[in-house]
Amino acid sequence: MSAIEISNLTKRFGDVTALDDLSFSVPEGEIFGFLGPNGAGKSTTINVLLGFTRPSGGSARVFGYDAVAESRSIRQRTGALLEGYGVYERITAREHVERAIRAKGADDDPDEILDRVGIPEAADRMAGGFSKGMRQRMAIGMALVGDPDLLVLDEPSTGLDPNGTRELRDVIREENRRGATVFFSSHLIDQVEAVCDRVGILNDGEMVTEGSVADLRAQLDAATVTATVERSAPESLLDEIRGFDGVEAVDATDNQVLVSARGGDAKLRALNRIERAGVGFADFTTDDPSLEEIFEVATLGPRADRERAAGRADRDPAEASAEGER
Amino acid sequence: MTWKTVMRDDLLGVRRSRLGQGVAATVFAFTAGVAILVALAQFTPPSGEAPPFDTIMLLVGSILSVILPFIAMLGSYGAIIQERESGSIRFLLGLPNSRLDAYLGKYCSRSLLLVAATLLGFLVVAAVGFGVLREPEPLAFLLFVVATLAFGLLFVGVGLALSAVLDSETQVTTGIISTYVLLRGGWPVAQWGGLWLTRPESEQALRPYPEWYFYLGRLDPLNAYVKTVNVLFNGDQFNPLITNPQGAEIAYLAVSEWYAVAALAVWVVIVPVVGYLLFRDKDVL
Repeated sequence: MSAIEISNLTKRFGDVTALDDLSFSVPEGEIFGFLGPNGAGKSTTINVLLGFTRPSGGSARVFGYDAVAESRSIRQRTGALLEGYGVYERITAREHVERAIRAKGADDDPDEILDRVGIPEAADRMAGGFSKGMRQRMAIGMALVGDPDLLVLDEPSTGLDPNGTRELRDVIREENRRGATVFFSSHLIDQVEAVCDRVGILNDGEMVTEGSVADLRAQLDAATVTATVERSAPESLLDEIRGFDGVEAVDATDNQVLVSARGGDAKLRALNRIERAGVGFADFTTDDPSLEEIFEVATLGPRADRERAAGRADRDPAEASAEGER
Repeated sequence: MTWKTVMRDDLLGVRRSRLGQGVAATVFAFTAGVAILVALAQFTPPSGEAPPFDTIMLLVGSILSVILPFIAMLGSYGAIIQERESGSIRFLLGLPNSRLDAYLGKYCSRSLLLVAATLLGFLVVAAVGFGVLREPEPLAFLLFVVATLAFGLLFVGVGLALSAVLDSETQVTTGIISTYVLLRGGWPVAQWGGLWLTRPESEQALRPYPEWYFYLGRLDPLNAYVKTVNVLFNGDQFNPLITNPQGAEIAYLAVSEWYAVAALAVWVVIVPVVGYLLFRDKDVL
């Protein structure tokens, strides 16, 4: 059975169509990356899945339960970290986790959970005084209560520092190993790329592409990936990476290595090499345009084709609109 | 059955919030406070005979008829809209709480806050009433407490229903103020408007008023509560807060205490139920 089964889902808010006949499914046990720019409809999809919003048409099912009629059963088996949540200002972190435990009828130890998400010292403090990162860690902890069969994470790295982001990836992998399906929405390709088995790209309420991360990588044009390191990388390491297939340029500063490469595999090999080099690899980011590039490919076709088609005409109006705010 | 956990969780937040403490303190002040003032006046020389129990209870009831609706609505108006505006509703309804669990839990929590504060206040009222005042009436007092609790719960329901159905805190605030203005001012205006429309100009204020005038007027929960208190402590004599029936009007069912009790009961039940039905299928995000 599919963990998530979305069929012809449509959601309209007045004149605005947020989701347009959306269909896709996520098999049990998968880590599914749900990508798309702000306003693409990712959160609306999640809000329908969890019963916050009613669909205008079509259906959404989780573990076979209907999102409208059996929402409570869905939420009983789901741990959710939702974008735009707010904490209860006068309630402590432990009390927040206890709420989730009571609501789910689970038997977790709240202190163990707070320990797992790295804020054991905040257990007795009111959440109103938390930093963004602490709130996010607490909310992740609440999502983990009751060993959910499905984790729905909407922009989970919001507010997390590089360490937090890495720990989040670890938690996601651990939960997936335990057997949980993970539905991970983000507008940041590197976050999704690092953990997801399969990816779907949502644009203007429609799924424009869906496939494995390798498929997605193949669509990537050259882009820069920046690795943050603690010690400056030796020239020999940079030279070695320059020799990799698909790598076009490698530069370094005191605490960064910048690799410009064509295709995700080359970038991944470069990152793995840097990680093993013993220079204190801390984290990495790919430059923002990479998502845009994937979108270009997914929504408009390969750039080379478009350039040929456009001939010497100025700008393709479709391309101009694709770059606009969504 | 997670409404109980919602109630418990909500109560914790309410107890720690200034609004929750303020609502409790205000209810207490307007019940116990009046009684304490009366007692102080009694023990400060020169003092003659203690005032009658009925007079002071009528005073407490009249004050409550004016302020309790507002305080009760203040205590519940944020229950759901504030969670929507702060985003914590993603926890409330992201956890396996049904809409009914959330709504009922909130209703019970906010009701408990008001009931506890009211009962505490009435404890002091009872101490003064039965310890100091002349000719106390236990049964009337008990009925007074029950009617006051129902009156308070009615407005907890109004505040919660508005909180669940409207889409911003500003709208809900406007909603509770409008409700109050409508019940206090709009209702009599509607009654007079009815007379103006149905009667020739020269007969508009002529008694007896038609029966509908009282059926409509006594449906107003403020009037229903005043009527109840007036029956308990004023022998149903003249009361400046309501239209007093004269002559043939006394025979109308609408001016009986049973109509008042029924009106209160209907409001207590219908408002929160309608609020829930509208909230059940609502897009909250």
